[in-house]
Parts: sequence; structure tokens; C-alpha cells
Amino acid sequence: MTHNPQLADQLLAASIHEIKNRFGLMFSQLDQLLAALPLDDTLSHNAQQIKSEAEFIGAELVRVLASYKTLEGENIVNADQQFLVDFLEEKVARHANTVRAHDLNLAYDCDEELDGFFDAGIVNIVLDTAIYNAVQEGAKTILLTADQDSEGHALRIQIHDDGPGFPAAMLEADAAAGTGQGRVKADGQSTGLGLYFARRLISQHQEADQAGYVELGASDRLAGACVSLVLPQ
Amino acid sequence: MALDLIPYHKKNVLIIEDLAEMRSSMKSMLANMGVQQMETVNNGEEALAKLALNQYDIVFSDYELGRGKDGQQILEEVRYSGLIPAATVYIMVTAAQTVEMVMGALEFEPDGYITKPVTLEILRTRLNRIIRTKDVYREINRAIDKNDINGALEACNRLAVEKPKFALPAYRIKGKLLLGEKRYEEARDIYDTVLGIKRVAWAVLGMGKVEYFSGNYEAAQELLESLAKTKSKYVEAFDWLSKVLEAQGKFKAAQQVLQQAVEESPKAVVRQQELARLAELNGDMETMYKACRKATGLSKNSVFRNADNYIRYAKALQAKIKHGSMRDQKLAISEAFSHIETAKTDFHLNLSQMVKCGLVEAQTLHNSGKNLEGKMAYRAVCSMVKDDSTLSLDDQLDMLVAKLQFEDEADSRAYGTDLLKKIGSNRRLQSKYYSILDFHLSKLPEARMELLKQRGNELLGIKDYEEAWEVLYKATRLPCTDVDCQLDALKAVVNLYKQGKRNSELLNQANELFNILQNMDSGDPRYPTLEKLRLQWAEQTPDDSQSATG
Repeated sequence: MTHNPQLADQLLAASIHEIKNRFGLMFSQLDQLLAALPLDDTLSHNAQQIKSEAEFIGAELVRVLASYKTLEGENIVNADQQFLVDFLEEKVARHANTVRAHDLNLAYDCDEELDGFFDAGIVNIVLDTAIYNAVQEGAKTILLTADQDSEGHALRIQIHDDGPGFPAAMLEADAAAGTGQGRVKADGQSTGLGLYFARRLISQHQEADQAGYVELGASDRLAGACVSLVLPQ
Repeated sequence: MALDLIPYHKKNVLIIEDLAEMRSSMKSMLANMGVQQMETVNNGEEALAKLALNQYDIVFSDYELGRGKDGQQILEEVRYSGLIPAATVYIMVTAAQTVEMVMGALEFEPDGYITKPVTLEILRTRLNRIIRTKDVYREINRAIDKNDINGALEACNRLAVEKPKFALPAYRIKGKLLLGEKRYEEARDIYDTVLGIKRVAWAVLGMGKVEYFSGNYEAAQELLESLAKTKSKYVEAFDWLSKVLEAQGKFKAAQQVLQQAVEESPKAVVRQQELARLAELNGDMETMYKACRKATGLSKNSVFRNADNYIRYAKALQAKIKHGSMRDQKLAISEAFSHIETAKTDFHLNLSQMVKCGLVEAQTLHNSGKNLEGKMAYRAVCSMVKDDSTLSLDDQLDMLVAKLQFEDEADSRAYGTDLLKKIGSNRRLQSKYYSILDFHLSKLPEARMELLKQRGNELLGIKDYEEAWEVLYKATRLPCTDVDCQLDALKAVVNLYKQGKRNSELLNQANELFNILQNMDSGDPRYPTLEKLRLQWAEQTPDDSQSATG
């Protein structure tokens, strides 16, 4: 047999795609099953955690697939006009299970009139990554905000949390590398790996000679970390 | 709060939900918000019946509905047949996991979705938002519902001027309306304008359609391919790409594109039917069988049910009837007859459909051992067709299949030869013709060998190395194969490699052929040809050619 890494990659991607779809169907059946069962408080909290974990796995598979495509060099961005208040409201609603399972306080705050151009699928993936990271670090409050610069050339979506914040070393390395060229490495740690791919995905948003980027920092709204996605318009 | 003044007490709501608990919980939440008129159904069939009878302001549809149609299928059917007015708010209720699937349909998008678990608070916020957004388009939708297209177009213009934030959505509606009215040049202007601002997917798709309808297939292909590449969730791009390829005579490519789309979203009925149609044109019975089976299941009790699909399904079952196990045969025979019966009784068939249906019936009878009845059914078809030229060439090929079964061999072969002349240089029909004869000759290896060799040489002559290899390799597998045939097959594969079409299966098959020929006497007049091929092969496969050169 000849060695064929390209075929192996395609096989893997196709298989993940299939797993994702089957998993989605299985999850919605599980959802119906759990809804039909008489559960006491403890059990229903367990059920909530199962749902939340299942959603996490689903989001992870979506992320892996998208990341795989960017690694393959495919530009998968399809920007469309989004109304931010709708977009963030949906994001919060879609995390209802995360909120319940982790007693989380998840909210959004943005101007009713704000709109912008980006790929909703990709920004969803990156927001999920940031939200799950914050939850894992122990955050109890997460706030999503959006605004734009005065000329309307860049849209900024931020994820603030009240967790411990990013380690100083991580922020220094990030700053040293210069904005938009983040040096967070794919070092195998879930946070780092997640952000590494988030960067690659966001940087595919291009407008004229500007590319989108991700910035890490301390939140000015809550006590913890802040992840900013800056998308050129 | 002024924003909350949506008059829910005046709204008429339909809830499509299969779980009783979910139905009652939705009802009590909506009642809590002031809704007074509510109806519920627990499956897609009932939903369609209700929607045909009554008008609703808001429809909630669960995405996963257990057995039967899912939410996406209901929406596809509802939008396709215009069952609900444009003003109705259509909301999909879905698990967070399936949101992307729901929102991935550019042409059959709901007005919004609500993710489970649905709580009163989520329902209130989401519903308010969706209704308020829908309200922005009120004038446009009102005009559309009155079938006042110009009025709707004007309303789009007004919206774009009065609320610039909604200019793009207004253009999107405008483009769709203009396409529906076949006003392609105006639609082109709209999409041009939008693409000048941003390269949004719906405008690329719209422009692709404009180019397709204007006959600019290459431009259309380029646009749609770029869209299909960026994100597979825009499955409609594949549908239109397939149409564009078909219009250019690239039938196999058109089928491949649709097969990709079907993998992506297997539940769309029309797509499965289209795939079955293309597979029939390409003579690909296996794909045709699968697509027909899917389409028949999906179109049960729906507006998408049609005679063609039943006839095609019966035709696709013939291979099972002829070569399947005893059990398969039995099942396939009764299934085929039932489809033929359905086609005849449930639909008004036109002449072409009657011919097809009659021929499939004759074939089914013949293949299940009822030769005499088969022959009678065939005669009945012949009496319907006075003049063959009223039939399409595809239908005439179907006639050829029947003739080979029921008529004298020499006569039917002569009919075939005539038909081949009429087919001329049409490659698709040529291939179909040859695969019909190939199948017919399956018990006569020598005659089959001659046929394959002849066809293979023709294909080599017009440099279609891919199909030439397919045909000639088949010939090299026959027990009566000869050296000429093996050399021709190698010619095909060497040239295929030169074109960059390579894979490990081809490599092994070609090396095997070189191995068979390695003891050819150097005095053989064909030896120089073999040597030349060996050299070329070695050039193309520097790493793997030991077995060819050794």
C-alpha cells in the first residue's frame, strides 16, 4: 500500500463529521428522554450536567472540523450582516444548559442598533471556546459585549469573566509577539489549544489589508479575564 | 415597557410538537404571555393539513419530530407549496446542536429559532425579538401575500432608504422576488450592488442563479464553486452547481455534485429526486436505486410525490429482480409492481411516462419469469408508440432494452445501430448505449469482448482516457481477453497518469497488467509498443514502477 496522508486526513474529517451529526441526533433524543423522566432534584441536576457536557462535546466537534479546514488551508469564512443584539441574545439562549449546570450568570450588553459583518458560525465557535474556558477556570459570571471603533472600521466582541484571569506569563508572551500575531502555542493544554485555533479562525476575517485578531487581557467590566475578538469591517 | 406591547391575545398560534409534555408546557408558557388561540398537532402530516385549512400568525415547529417528517421537511414543503403567507412567523424549536442544520438552508430558512430547553424567559425574549424583526418587513410581506410584486419591490426600496441597517436584507428579498419574476437583469443589478459592498453568500448564490438563467454557465459555475468550497453548509450552492454542470452537458460531474449535497443533507426530497433523475441519465442504476428509495420514503403524503419517481424506482429494482437472492427477488418483484400500480392509478401519465411505465412493467414481468405476459405488455407499449421519433433518445434507449428482451436478436441489434447513429457524438447517450449492450451480452463473453474493445478504441481516439480505462479494464478481466486489449488498457492508464489522475488502485491494476505481459517475446511485433508504455509508465511512477520495469 502507498502512504497517503491526504486520504487519511480526509477519512478523519469525514468520520468526525459523521460523529458530529449522529451525536447531534442522539443528543436531541436524550433530551426528550430526560424530559420524560420523573427526576428528583439531585438526579435532575445530574441530567443537567449530562446535557451541558453533551453540548460541550458537540461544540468541540464543530470546532475541530472548522480548525481542520483552516489547517488544510481552506478559507471557510462567509461573512454576512449580523445584528449584534440578536446574535448575542441567541448565544446566551443557546447556553441555557451551561448556565443551569454550572449556576452561571451569563448576560450580554450591546447597543440595540449595532450591526457588523462576520461569519456567524465561526464567531459562534470562538465564543463557545471562550465561554467554556471561562467556566472551566471557575468563572461564575460571564458578560458578552460588542462595540465598534469610531470610524466603524472594526467590530469588537468581548467575553468578560470573573474568574482568576490569564496568567501573567501568558499575557506577556502574547503582548511580546505583537497584536494579532499572538504566540499562544498549540501546547496541548486545552485553553492554549482552543485559543490557538480561535486565532486562526478569526484571522480569516479579512477586509482590505486588515485581518481579524484575538486579544487577551484583563476585564474592565468584571474581575477576571477578557478575550476580545476584533473583526475588520 | 413600550417594546413589550406585542398584542399576543390577538395572535393565532400553531404548535407542532410530538411530545405531550412539551406541547402542554409550550401552551402554558404562551398562555402566560397572553396568547388565547392555540392549536397543537403532533406530527408533520397533521401540521400540513392544519396549515392548508387555517391561517396562523405564529407557527412553532419542533425540529426533531420522532417518526415521519422533521421540522426542516415541513418547512421545505410549506414554503414550496406556498401553504403559509409571507406574514406568518415561522419558528423552529431545536436543540443547540442542530441550530446550524436549521439555519444552513438559505432558501428554506425559518424566521428564527428557539433552542431547548425552552423556559418562559427565553421564549418571551426570543419571540419578542423575532416578531419585532419580522415587523420590519411587514409592508413587503403584505404586498407579497397580495401577489403585488411591484408593490413589494417598492416596499423593499422604501425600507432600504428609511432604515439603512436593513438595506441588505431588503435587497436580499428584492433579488429573490426579481428572480421569481424572471427579471434577471434587474436581479443582476441588485446582486452587483450588494457584492460591491460585501461578498455575502446569498448574493453569490443569487448571482450564480442569474448567470445560470442567462445562459452564462461558466460564470455561474465559477461563482457557485467558490461558494460550495467555502462552506458545505450552503447546500443550495451544490444544487445549482449541479444544474449548471448539467446544462453544459457534464452529466457525471452534475451527479457527483448532487451526491455530495445528499451526503450533507440526506432529508431533502427534491434533491433525492434530482439525484435519481441524473443517475438514470447516466445509467447509474445503483445510485438511482438508493436515491429513489430515499425519495419515495421522504415524499410519502407530500406535494413532492410524483409519477416519475415511482416509475424510476420500479426500473431501479430490476437488477435486484434479476440477480438478487430468492428473498430479495420476491420482495423486489412485489415492490416493483406496487410502484407501477401507484404510478398508473394515482397520477395522470403523459405519453412518455406511459411508455416508460409500460416498459418497466414488461421488464418486471420478463425478469420475474413471466415471459409471455411480459411480451404482451411490451406489445401494448409498441401499439402506443406509432413513431419512435416522438420519443426522446433516452426513451428510445429504454425501448432498445425491451427490444433486446422481446424481439428477434438481429432486428433489435439493427434498431440499436440505427439509434447509435441518431445519438451521434452525444457522449452520455453513447455510454448508456454501450452499457446496455454490455449488459445484454453478459452471457456471450466473445461478443462482449469485441464490443468493449471497439468502444475502448473509440474512447482512446477521442482521448477520454478515464472512460477508456474503465471499459478496457473490464475487457481485460474477461477469460477470452487478448494481448491487444491489455495493451490498449495500458495506453489508457498511462495517459490517465499523465493527466494527473492517479490512485493506488489504478497503480496496482496497471502493474498487474504489466506483469502479465512481461514474458512477451521480443520478436513480437507489439513488443516495441509495450516497451514504450513501460518507459512512459516508469516516468510517471518513479517510486512504484519496479514491478513494471523489472
